[in-house]
Amino acid sequence: MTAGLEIEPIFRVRIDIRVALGGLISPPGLEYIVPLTKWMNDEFARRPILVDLLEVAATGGRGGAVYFDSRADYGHGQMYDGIPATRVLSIVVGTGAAITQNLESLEVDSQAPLLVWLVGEDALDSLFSVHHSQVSRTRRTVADPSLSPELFVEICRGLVRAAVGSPAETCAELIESTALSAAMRGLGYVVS
Amino acid sequence: MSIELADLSILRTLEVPEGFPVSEIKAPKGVGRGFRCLYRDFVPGRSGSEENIRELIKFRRRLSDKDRRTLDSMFLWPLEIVESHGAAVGYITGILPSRFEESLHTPHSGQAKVARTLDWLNRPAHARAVEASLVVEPEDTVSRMTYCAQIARAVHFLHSRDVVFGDIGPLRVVWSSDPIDVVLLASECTSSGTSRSSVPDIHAPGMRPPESVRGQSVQDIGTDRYKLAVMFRDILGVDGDRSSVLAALSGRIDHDGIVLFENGLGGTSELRPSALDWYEYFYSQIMSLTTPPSIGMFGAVPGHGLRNQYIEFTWHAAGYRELVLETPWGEVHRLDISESKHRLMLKQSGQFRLTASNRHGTTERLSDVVYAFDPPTVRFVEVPELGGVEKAMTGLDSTILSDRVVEGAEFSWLDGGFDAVASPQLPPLPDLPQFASAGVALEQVDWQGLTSVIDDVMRAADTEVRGGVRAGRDLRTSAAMLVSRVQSLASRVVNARSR
Repeated sequence: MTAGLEIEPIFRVRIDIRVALGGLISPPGLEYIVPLTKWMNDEFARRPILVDLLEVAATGGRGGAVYFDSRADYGHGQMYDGIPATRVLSIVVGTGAAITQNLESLEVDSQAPLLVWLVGEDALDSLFSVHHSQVSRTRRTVADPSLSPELFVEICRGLVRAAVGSPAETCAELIESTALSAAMRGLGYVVS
Repeated sequence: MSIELADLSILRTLEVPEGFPVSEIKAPKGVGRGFRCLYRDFVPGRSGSEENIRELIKFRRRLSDKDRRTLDSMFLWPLEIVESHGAAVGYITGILPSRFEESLHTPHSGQAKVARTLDWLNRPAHARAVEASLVVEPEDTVSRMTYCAQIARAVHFLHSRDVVFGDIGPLRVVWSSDPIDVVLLASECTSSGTSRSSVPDIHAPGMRPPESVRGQSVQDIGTDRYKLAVMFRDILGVDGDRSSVLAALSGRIDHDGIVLFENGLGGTSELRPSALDWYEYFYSQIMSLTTPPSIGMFGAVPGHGLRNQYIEFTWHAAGYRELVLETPWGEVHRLDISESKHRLMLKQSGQFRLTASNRHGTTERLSDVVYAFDPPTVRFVEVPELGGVEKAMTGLDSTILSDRVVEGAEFSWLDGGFDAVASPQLPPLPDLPQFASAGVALEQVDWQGLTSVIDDVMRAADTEVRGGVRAGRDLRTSAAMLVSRVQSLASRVVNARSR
């Protein structure tokens, strides 16, 4: 009788954050990542259930540094199954130049919904070119010349909570949502 | 009666487990039991929430004072609707007592306080790593069962009043110790009888019952019971084996409990144990685990057997954390506490001993004597050699007879002798009376008998010859038989004459 029992498996969401460094010693992208990973660390510490619902990794792409990996830090040796494509969300942060140069080495998943956060002075200028150079799928590119990571961290926090809290929505819906647009606070963005 | 949003006096904003902000407010007049309350917005886009919350508020108002106090101690329950410009925007609940808050050390923000949701109970390693104030070890089954019992008690309060909790899950329960206590957080998914159909079809991750996977959109007492079983399994099976659904429980839960879990996690809603069933089970387990164990019955089936046959022992026992079976020949078997029977090979007669122990003591029970029989064996019997068949047939040793009566063991006098009327050539015998006429001697001989004997034998021999294989042997036998009969007849004649 025990053989016939099944419990629905928990489908985790994977959030993949890539930082485009572009060869600078202290790239702006890094300044955005650090507060985000600090918040992630705190959030995973505050909510023991998160490690079962979410996988977050913040890396520099192929061969790059690993800034945060929830599986390594909080997974405690658990086994992880494959994650369906609808449950993966990609985020890329960096200057327009860095992203364009390092597109390949960033190894961004070509199917997952994508949020590109352009930082630095040339953010607005490279908005359209970066957006259209991405492989076609649900994506949003945001230009943030403010040099302050605050909004970026806030938006990512909202995405993390939304991804975990509403299993019915796919990550694509999150990227396209009007709620996210409303949270942009006047920054220029393109959605397609 | 509802409260205006503008009239609320907000003290601070809290983050709650679900992630959206909740405000701590000064309790409006007549609402709740303390100075502070919580205000939360309705989740946008979820229809039916307002109607549901109104039903829950009415449900609470209809309770007797005593029941309402019980409800308030076990649940965070909607107290009032909050409106803004005529539209309902949110609702007020009571506040969580501070003993349900966990204090932990975060990597970058120092000390933080969060509501101590059930996921803290299920991850003691994490709790220890962040220096949480309350850590319950995985092996502390008595405490864990007490939490389960408290949860079952709260859910039973609702089910017995036809209220479905709905979104049972680890983020909807907060817990504390000293005393061991839980509070369940009611939500828009909690529904009393009338508004059941408008409840959103929401399930915590990993909590969706089979019927909901198959398409049932209504949440009812059956779906609640399934989620209770999943939650109890997660609490009691912490850090256990994940190879199958109930693997984590073996060694921690006795057989009666395993049966409850099998029914609770099965697809048939009607078979699932109710919240009251769970409460009674956990209560009795806690009682028996805090006193020495009891053994009600211990016996073998079959009660006796052949040596080296397998027999099966069964028992009724409660409250044990260890179970040991000792055989009369000195073997000691450690039993899994989730087993209800045990097979072993019977090597020797004697009494078996069952020893049940827990932290509070040890109880033993001896079985009836189990006899081990040896299987019957066959001993071989010496059969004396019979020698020739002719000896066996007549009981007379015709060799000896032929020595006495006829010269040698020759049968040649048979030939041609039967159509002669004269008596066979008999050896001279002393005192042999002389008959006056030959006819008298002839009358002494049973010619009929003699010829019929020969006829029989020749007929038998004939059949056997036609029959084949054994003919030769049997012909000799038959001939020997014939000879001995003739010899016995002849001796009768001789003896008759000598009288």
